[in-house]
Amino acid sequence: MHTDARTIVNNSLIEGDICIVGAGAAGISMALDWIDTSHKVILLEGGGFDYDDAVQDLFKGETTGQQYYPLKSCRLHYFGGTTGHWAGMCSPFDNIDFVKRDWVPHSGWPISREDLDPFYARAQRKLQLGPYEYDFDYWANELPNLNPFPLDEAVVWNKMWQYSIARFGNLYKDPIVKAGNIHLYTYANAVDIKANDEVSSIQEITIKNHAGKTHRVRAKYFILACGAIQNARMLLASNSQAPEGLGNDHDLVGRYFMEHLEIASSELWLFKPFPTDLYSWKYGETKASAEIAITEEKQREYNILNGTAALKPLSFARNTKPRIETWQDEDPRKSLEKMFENWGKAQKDAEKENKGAVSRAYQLDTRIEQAPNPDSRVTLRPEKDELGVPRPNLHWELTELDWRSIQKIHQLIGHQMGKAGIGRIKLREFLWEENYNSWPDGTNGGWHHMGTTRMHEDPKQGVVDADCKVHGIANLFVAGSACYTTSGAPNPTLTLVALSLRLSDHVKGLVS
Amino acid sequence: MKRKQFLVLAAAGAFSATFPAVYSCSRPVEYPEALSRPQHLFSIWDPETARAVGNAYRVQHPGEAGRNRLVELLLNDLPVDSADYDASLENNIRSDFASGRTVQVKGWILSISEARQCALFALTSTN
Repeated sequence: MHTDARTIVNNSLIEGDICIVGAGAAGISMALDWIDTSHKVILLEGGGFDYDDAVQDLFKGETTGQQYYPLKSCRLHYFGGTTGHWAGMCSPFDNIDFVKRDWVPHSGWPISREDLDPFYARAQRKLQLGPYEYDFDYWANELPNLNPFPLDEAVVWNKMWQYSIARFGNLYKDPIVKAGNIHLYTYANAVDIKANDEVSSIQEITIKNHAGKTHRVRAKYFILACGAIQNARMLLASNSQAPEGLGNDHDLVGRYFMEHLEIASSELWLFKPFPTDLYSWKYGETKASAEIAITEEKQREYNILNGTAALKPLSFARNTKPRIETWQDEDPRKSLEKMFENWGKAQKDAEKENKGAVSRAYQLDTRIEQAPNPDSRVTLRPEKDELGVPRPNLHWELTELDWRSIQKIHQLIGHQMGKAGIGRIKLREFLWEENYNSWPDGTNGGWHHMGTTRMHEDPKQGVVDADCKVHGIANLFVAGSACYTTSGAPNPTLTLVALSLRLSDHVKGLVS
Repeated sequence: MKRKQFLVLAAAGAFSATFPAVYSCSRPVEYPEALSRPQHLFSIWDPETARAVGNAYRVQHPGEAGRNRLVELLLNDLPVDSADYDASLENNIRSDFASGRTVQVKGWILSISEARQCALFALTSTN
């Protein structure tokens, strides 16, 4: 069922068994899971079914620290969320991402990769991916021409990705709207969360829209699924009963904001052409491809973070501008257009230059987890949006471990390419020094927002527990990548859908 | 020429009143051309890049900046009876990578042998 919250009587009271705040990848995945159950699910979406600039403006904020994308345009604020324009890259986290690593401060999830495996398999279906298979050997049997570089598997391995073209807004609008027990409210922006006097359980959420309507939502269980920046913002802003914000007794909400660094790091020059489709992909066509990853053993030996190197033809890469440069318009549609325009021009220019040795050369872009850093954080600004909620400030801050890990990853790949006798690696200049110096201008994030309500069994080290429940509040949960304790090497969407489905199962057990 | 060599020659009676009073210490040692020809790298570099890398290596390793020293180091690592210097050098280069005998010069991750080849090329080639 669907209701436009702008059209109902002001100060309506909406009641259900569970309330999911946010209809992006996490929220919709959970709602789908509740279809045809005996429970009434309220699904709140701040926007409508299409882009609305006034609604999108509610995401606007400021950034400090390391240059970042405009907060208004780095997420989408309508039904379907950021799946409305995502690239669809999916890969599960590795075992090492979940364990405590003594060289990575604040690492160690309270759950393991094995705990998530059954949910990864279910997430594959929601994302319309192939089978839950991410071994290179499996795909080498399934697809032609996946020839791997002849590198030492004790040092590097081929981490596989699959590619989704699912736009949740288009794909799941009908199933959600037609489901009798799922009550979708659009133009229903959560602006305040009210707890009981003891602040031990949530009583209701206040929602507003630009039509001037205010409504209240009550449920037995509440799940925040608005993305890491917005989830943290909502908890911090709901401070009428807890001055530092809900779930924030230990000043952790908003901290440990993590991105994936996606940064041009080296060049690979091959002595001879190496025919393979393993390391390239095309949107809408490729089923699976790989990036070069560093083994767990070598991560331990060198005390580095988990990351991969993606190949991009050098003649194309040289003509592209970094995304942090092209994605600076506050309108996400214009930023996307500028980015694609730059890529289109780069492709044309590349065709003229792609001769001789450069036709066998690649730019290696690192994709790497960010070391958890409590000073990288979301806070509130004094100015408020049109619905009265303080705007967010994102302070993105990186560490020496991030830099050193990137350097070591490419040095290891360089050694392996030399040992294999197939080519040479040239590091980008920001990696030439022995010690960390500074980040170059083209330091991109992946538009991946993680960690602001991190998971830990100890309430002094995490905002949510192993079941994604906010510590100290019996019926408030957070869904998605805000709960990540560490950020893993690959894109977050497959894991956030898996984690959300796990949360969904947990809440089903509670309501039953 | 080193002092020790001079004294040996004198003792052997090779000294002549017409022999230069100061024997030039930079008398070039003969060496196989392959030593200054980093073959694989020429498939991805132009000569200017090879020279630049070679000169950068010499600055990084001042003790190996001279031609004779580079030749000595490169020959020391080759089998005495090398018939195919290119093949032997290629083996050394792969062995360098396998054993971690690598250097980073102007961002390039190179085998120490091929870096020395570049240095020798920089010294002996003309623009």
